[in-house]
Amino acid sequence: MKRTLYYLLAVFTVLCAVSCNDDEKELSSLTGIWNYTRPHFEFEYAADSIVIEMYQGRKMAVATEEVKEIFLRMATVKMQDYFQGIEVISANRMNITAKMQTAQPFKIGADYDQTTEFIEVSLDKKDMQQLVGEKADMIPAVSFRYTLQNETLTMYFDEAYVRTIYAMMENRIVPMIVDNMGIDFEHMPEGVRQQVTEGVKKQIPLILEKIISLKIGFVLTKA
Amino acid sequence: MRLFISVLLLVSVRLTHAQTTVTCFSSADSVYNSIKELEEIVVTAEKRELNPKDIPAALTVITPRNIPGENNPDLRNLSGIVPNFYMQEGGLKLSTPIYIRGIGTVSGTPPVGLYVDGIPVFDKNAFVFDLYDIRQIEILRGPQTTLYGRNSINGLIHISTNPPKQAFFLQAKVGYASYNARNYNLILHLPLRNFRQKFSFAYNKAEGYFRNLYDSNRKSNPSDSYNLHYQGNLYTDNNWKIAIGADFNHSFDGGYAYHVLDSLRINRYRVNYNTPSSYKRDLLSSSVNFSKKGRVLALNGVSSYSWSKDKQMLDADFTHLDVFDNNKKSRQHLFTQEINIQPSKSGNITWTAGAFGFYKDLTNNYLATFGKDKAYLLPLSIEQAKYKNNTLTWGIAGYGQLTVNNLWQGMSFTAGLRYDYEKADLHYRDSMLFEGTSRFMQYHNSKEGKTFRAWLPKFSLLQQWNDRLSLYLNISKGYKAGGYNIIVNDMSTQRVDLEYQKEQLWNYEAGLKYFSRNKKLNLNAAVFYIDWKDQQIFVMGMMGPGIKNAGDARSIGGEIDMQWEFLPRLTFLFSAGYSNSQYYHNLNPSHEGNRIVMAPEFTGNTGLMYRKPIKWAGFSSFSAATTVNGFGTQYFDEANLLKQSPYFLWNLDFSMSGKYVEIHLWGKNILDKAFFTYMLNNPVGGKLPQYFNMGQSGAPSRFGASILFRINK
Repeated sequence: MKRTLYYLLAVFTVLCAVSCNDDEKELSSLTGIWNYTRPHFEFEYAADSIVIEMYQGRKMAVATEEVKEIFLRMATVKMQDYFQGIEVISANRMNITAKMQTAQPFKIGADYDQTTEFIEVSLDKKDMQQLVGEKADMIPAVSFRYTLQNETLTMYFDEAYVRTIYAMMENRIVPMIVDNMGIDFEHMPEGVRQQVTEGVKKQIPLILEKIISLKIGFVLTKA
Repeated sequence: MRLFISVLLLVSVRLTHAQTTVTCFSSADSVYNSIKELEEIVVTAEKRELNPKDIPAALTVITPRNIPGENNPDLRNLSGIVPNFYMQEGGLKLSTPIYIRGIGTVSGTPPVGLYVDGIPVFDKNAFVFDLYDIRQIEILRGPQTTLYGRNSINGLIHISTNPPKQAFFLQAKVGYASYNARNYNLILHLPLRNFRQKFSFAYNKAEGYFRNLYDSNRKSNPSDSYNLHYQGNLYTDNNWKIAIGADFNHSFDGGYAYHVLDSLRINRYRVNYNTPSSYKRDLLSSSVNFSKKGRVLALNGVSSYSWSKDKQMLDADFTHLDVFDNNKKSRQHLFTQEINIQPSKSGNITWTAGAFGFYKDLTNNYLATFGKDKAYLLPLSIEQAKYKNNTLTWGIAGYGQLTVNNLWQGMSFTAGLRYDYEKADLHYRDSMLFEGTSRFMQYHNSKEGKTFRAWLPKFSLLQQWNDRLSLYLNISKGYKAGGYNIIVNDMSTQRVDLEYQKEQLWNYEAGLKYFSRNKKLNLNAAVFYIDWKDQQIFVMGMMGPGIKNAGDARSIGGEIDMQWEFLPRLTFLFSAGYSNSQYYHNLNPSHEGNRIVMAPEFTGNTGLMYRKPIKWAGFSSFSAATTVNGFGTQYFDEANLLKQSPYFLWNLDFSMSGKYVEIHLWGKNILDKAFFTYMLNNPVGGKLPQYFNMGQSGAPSRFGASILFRINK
């Protein structure tokens, strides 16, 4: 009987020792103020240029390198007009400092969830409502990939995420693209407008499919 | 009232018939008394051989004579017959809900442990199999996690099959039932000196009763299955017993027969979906069970390996529209090992101790295909989504239980403790094929792991007032490990969040067991209170099913079962269970105070059974039974908007048996009562409100007959 009890005790001791193992990786703390420094853009395409077929057989070709330059130029100018940085308050809470061009900066509260690969940000509904001026019922969380090196934090969307967001918002994004194509879309006959829209809708996935890698985001440095 | 009068009339007819039929008695059956059989039965679910009176827990023992109706019964046939036990009939093997005392699940890890000849069956999709060569089924209600660990959070089903015989034995059975259902089984016992062997084979096929309007009204829920089983028992000179077992089961079910509730109220068995839906499963299991009873200690060990492969095809919108289909394939390897030691002889102090370990490798491949009508469901333009989920889970546990008898006059106290440790490692990836593209793009990719651990105590007090009556109190903890869902439902984020947490409960119970001196009455009763934390519930997401921790719930109730031979050979049967199971804390506060999904408010079974020895044409006994099976209100959603009111099903059973032959006639749901066995909110219902509330009708009335031949040496 005694021997049996000793064996049982040994088994339980081993179990306790094994159960103490915790294999969750430690995450680097982000607490502090991070200021926006510059946009982050990496883009590799399977061809030297991106060709878009316009209506009536017309084509528009933009060199891949030119796309990169245009984007970086626009992002450098526009991003700093609207985004100043983030203040990470705790392990799951941050404030995003934004501004509308020349207006005073303001803060948008957000919850965030950090894993080894992603920072997922959920903006506060009330703050968004104040910013956009209308009720914001559903604000999906936004997931950024990130790298942290010393005091530089790079947050970005990768190709898969951009593709998925496009697939979710295709009906909103395509009209925006068509509006910016430099054609007199509003004065076209209805049938032609439909053709142009459908044409763009068909081509965008094909263009996206030729992307080898894509990273769109921004770089923050610790204050 | 109509039902009550029908039952009375039937009983009167049977009594009249009994007066005129009997001429002689058979020594084999003339002394059969089901109550006496129950009193003398030996139960092994507590990992020791005990009499039901000595077990301080609610227990029901089912013998082959009590398995009701049907030519190929399975565990679903015990719904309602075992108090507070509900296992939905008519559903597919993959998604059969199981509930005990209001605690259960539609999908995922079951709330009840299942052991067959000491071998654990982990997954609910393996719970439905033919009970055609069974010695007895023990169903314990309340947590059994101290002795059995994971899965048995609120109960245990312990099935013992008939062991290989010492002499040659051959049995063949043929059955036919409604909807062109055919059943065949063959059992052969071949002893060879110290090595006794048994071979068995069973085959079932049925056309089903649902018709699919989209498919030219063809039957949409056919089924077929076959089973091959081998068991060999070796007895050595130095008291070793080694049992080897192998089992292969193949089954196919057409189904997921869901349709709009309003339509099913007019035509119960007419569905309308464009993609054929089915579930196919192959299960192979093997085991070695060794035991030795020494002078001081008895040792028992069980090693098992099982392999399973299944394929599910599903019209996931359940409509004639081409919205989306799911195709899931899974493959699993499972190894288990258990060792148990206990004293060879019982005394004032008895104990049992053991260790258990398992390793499970489960891979799920899931393909969702979105059709031309996908806009009714999906806010994104994708053609297909592919998911691959591989989970490696291993666990070890140690347990011990001590019983001190005769603490005071007839009082015994039991305390048990188990430590359960489990680690799950997940590798998950999915990819999407966007519209207009030709290659899949990877979206989620995650490798992570999680450990789950728990201490699982139990305490019970048993007071034997005399050799007729025992009373007990029982406090025990139940536990079900957490795990990982199969697919990510939220495609708006790249973060993989598949994990669900463990659930735990505490069960507080008091009960009594009584056998009358004249062996004419057996009564068991219990009351219980269960406090259930972090309940795991099944949810249907945009892309497919999942499990989440919904909140906390409590279940309060009672149960009673009784057999009373109030007239010679005429026994009154009554079993009833009541559970008031409600959320008191829920992720959605508006659901607090609502009833738990799927659990019926009560289960019931009552009726009369008549047995009489006869001597006619080789038959030595006759039995007839009429029973009514009832289920209380069920809610199928957390908001408690989808509701099935209480319903009752009338069943009949007749059999004649002799040394070489048995004939069995049966009828289930004789009055063809209509009811819903499942309801759901269809994800496409958001944009197509006419399809929002869907359901599945319960099985119609069915009748059948079987004949069995046996040859004994």
